[in-house]
Amino acid sequence: MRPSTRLAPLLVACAAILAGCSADDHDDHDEDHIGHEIPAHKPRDLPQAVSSIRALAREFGSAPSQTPIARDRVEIAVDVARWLPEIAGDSDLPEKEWNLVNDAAIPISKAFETIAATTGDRSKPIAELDARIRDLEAIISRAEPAWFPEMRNGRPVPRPALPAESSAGATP
Amino acid sequence: MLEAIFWGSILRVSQAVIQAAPTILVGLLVAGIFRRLLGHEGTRRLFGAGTRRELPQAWLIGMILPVCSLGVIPVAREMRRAGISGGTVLAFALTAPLFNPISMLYGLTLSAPLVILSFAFATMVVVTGVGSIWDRLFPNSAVTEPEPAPVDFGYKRMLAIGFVGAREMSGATLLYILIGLSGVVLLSIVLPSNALQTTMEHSNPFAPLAMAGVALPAYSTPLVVMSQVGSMFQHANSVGAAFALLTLGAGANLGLVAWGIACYGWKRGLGWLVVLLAIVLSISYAIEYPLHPREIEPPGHTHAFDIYCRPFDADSSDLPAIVKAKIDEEVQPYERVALTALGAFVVVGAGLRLLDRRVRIEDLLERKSGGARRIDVDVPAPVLGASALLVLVGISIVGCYLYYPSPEEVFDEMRIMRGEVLTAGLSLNHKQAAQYIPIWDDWTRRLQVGAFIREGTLSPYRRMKAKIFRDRLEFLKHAIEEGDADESREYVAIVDTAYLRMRREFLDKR
Repeated sequence: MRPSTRLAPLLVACAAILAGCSADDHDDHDEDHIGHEIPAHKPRDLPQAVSSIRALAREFGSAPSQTPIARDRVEIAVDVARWLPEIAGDSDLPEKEWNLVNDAAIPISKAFETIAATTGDRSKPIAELDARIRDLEAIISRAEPAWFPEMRNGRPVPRPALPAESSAGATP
Repeated sequence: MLEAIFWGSILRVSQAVIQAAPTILVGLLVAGIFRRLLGHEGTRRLFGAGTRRELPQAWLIGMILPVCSLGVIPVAREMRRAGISGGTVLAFALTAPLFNPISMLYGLTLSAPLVILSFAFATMVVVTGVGSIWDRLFPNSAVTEPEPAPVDFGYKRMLAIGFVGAREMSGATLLYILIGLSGVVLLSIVLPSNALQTTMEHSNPFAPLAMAGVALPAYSTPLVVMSQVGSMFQHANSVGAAFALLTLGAGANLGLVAWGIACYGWKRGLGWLVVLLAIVLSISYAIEYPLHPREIEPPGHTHAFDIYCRPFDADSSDLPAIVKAKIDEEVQPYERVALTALGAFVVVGAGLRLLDRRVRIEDLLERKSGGARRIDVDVPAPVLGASALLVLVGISIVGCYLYYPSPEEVFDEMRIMRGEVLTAGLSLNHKQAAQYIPIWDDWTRRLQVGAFIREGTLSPYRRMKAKIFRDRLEFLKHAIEEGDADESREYVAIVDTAYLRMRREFLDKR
């Protein structure tokens, strides 16, 4: 962002330069246009999110205890954990199971942060994290195929646009 | 270019007047009740004048009464006439427009309701802080004006209340409202279209300051500001800027500042503004990092503040027709009624002022006639005044149920939005999408509040279904804006899936 754009409203506040900001100042908007982007590390569905978390937990667990864990890896782990409620909500996962996932999200993200902040014996926070992940894996293992319809057989399942509202279920 | 500025200003002022009309009407009614029913003593008692609870009480009453920053002007003028201290009057004038029951409920549907409650608490800090400091800096600001003679009961009393509104709308209040609206014109002259799309980012350290600069001259209703605050959280914009928008955008305007200066003088009026800005900006910068939603990936731009900028580019054409079409499209039936009533107040008020040269109508109303008839009970004016205020609060509660209908009614409305938005996505119709996506988004808020006020609860699961739907809708909007046909088509399916899940959760599981 260019300073002139940032400060334009401030100039209004001062009311000093009434014509200090013209439409031409913003002609590059389209070039600068940044849409909503989905981060590359955002899992597509809950099974993928849980396996990502498991992989990250293994990676953190196998790091030498005196070696700090790379900050970008911690950020990815925390992101994935915090996305859990949204990713789980974007499926037909029933409320009871979703509540379990929702309850696990913050403790898992904190566990990753604790492991990263611990220099020395990390076995306790790793064990706690492992228990939480096992709870999630249990949900995935007993999931019905209809709960994650978009990813049946590992591929997105297209659904026809504008189905009748009477078929309120989201299963295609 | 000049044409774009001129018609842009016309559009922005018209939109502000349309939005403000109902709440200005409420402000005139409240002012009339204070003057003719509660009287000076009743008004002072209502605000706990002279007690320690004066400032928080002003904050609380301000939270309940549905007025906007223009509608609060006649009320503040009446409070001052009643001899309430300047700090309390200004505290009320600032708080009353910030929240009302409808906007507060809307705020609770945002991704972090705790933030809105924190904002409400922070506004109390602002109001009591500004009021206390101001009263300490400028003591003895309370000046009681002579109280008007009491009016006989019955139609005379009702007429007298109406005449208060008419005189306000043809006198000083109208002038301050026009000064308030001049801020809207100023912004549409100075800010080119889309100029604020990237200004309020969390990464911009000037964002709260910039927002203060925009929000003070801007006019916004409590509900619009609340939806913008919601959008700011959805886009992970600057939280400090959101707080500045809420406090200054909804709470203050140039008309209010002008009134403060006219009433209390340059030193005191500007002193109030300086203390207010200092406290608002201090809180804004203090909450910027603690309340920032880290889990959200900022999209880098937002359209939430386009309404404060010039609506047209230099190369826009056929502007008079566009302005007319937009106004016709936006004005709601209840706003037409309010506009008509305001127009009538202006005309009647002008007539009263012309008549004043010969006879002052209020003098006739204030003349004591015979006693009450046998079947008539003379209800004391303060009792009527208190009842009227309670009825007003009751109406705003009923208004909440009307504004936030039951889920069945909401989904009936959404059926139309669904057809419009999804076909806009499939055909890449930008105009149709820009019109209907915000409405569909807004209906999801109404859905949540409607379910909450009827069932007494709203589960996190339901909240999440609505949030996911809104997020997907936002992605679809951007795909359409960028003209990406494949992505749009993909998001049409994704939005529809999210919609059906939300629908199932709110309807089928009841």
